[in-house]
Amino acid sequence: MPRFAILLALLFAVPALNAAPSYQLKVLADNLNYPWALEFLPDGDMLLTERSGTLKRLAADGSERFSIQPALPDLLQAAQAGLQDVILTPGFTGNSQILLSYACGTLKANNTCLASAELTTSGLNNIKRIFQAQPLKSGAAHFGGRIAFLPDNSLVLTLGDGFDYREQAQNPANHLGKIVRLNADGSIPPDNPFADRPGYVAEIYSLGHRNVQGIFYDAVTQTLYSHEHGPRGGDELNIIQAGENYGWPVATKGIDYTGARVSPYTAFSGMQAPVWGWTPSIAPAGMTLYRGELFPQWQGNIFVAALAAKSVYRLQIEKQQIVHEQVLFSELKQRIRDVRSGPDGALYLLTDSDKGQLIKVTPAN
Amino acid sequence: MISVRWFLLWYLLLAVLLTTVLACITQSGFNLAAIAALTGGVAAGDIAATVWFDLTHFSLTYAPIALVNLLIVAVLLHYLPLLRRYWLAAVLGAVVLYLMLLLINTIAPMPTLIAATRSGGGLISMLLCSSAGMLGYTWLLKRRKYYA
Repeated sequence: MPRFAILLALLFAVPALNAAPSYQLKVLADNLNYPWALEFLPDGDMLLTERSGTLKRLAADGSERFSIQPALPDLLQAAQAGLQDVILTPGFTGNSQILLSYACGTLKANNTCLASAELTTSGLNNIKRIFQAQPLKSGAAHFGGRIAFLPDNSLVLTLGDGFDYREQAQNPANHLGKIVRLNADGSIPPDNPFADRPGYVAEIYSLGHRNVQGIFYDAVTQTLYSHEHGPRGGDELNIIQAGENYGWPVATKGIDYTGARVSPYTAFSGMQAPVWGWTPSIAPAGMTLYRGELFPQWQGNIFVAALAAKSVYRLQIEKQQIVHEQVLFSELKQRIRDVRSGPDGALYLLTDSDKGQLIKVTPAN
Repeated sequence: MISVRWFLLWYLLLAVLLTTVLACITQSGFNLAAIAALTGGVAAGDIAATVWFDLTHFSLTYAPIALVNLLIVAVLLHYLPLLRRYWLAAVLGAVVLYLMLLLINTIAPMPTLIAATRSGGGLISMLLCSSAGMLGYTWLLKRRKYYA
């Protein structure tokens, strides 16, 4: 009898241990026009970008402090093109400097740009373009556009292959399909992996990417993670190392949207394999690492916002290997553009539509 | 009593089949050439596997395009006897496909839907596949003496 009781207790206890924490969702802001990125300010406010070119400053409760259209040089708004990421520089508390990534140029000649600006109580001052990816190309697709700072205060900016120019992701003489590393003023760090190599553009940090729209640096494990959109299948989570080639379009598990094979190879010598992947595609957008305290079970987990899958993927990682995946927030039935771990321990979501929402996730109790 | 000329449909479907097979091989060829330029070559087995993959997957996307493409030209030939010449049928097949690709690329979210048509050489090759289909269709009808 005691054995039976212990068995019963275990049967109920095991699922309880594995169960996802219960949470509640609160809409902080709505009627957002394709919100793209969220960044937290030291005073508890948030900066929010919309692809249409709007930068909003919101209070912690979601109320709007200002909404402006910053005068970004040559901002291009069309299809996937527009205002993208926003990030505070490491020296923000002293100089109020932020960085914005965006598509710039015309429909026939464009690429990804990075601008610096000074944040004021009512908007931005001293907007300066500090980087423009080269070459300028046609079409409004695959701009990358996510930014992360590394411990040495240099930054990495993700770029796309421009869709029609996928083979250029393997060409070290340009920025298409690369992750670039810059200083906060746009200058090139002299210790970049190809800084002095002939035939390579000096900004390249890694190459062989398709459209990288999620990146963060985990200071605890000293690891830089990124994910990128595959075509039909072949979405990837990668650990980025300086100077490495991540394979696109030579090594991919995806195929063209038409069903045509992009490449005969799913892996190739000298090219880095992803640590995780999604086929069929989930269309990974933003990504964050949870280091908050409100959800102890989520500590150290990676959260990936998914557009096509209309959910958020929680990844448990051990020794740089994904050991468990859980799909969250699919009840929203919304394309999720970005997911961020807030300084208050809550998780924040941005839904992708012309009536987009900023949603705060906290424990149910 | 209405007489249905079923052979017109069968000939059109044969032409669509020919165009689709040629287009799949063309698509494979241009993609493989691009990969080979990056890797230094592609093994014969990988080439064969890629062509077979495209014949069984890309064809599902391309066959409806080819059907609409050739159907439009077939209707034009049906109602405009002056167009029933080999060279005109071939040119019309290419022109109608070109216009369709312009429309598709305008509507589709990506700049260029069919990868092979990203380059001038690839685009011309795909247009020639439609021309070949229309040449086959016209030849079948002339052989049956339906077209003079």
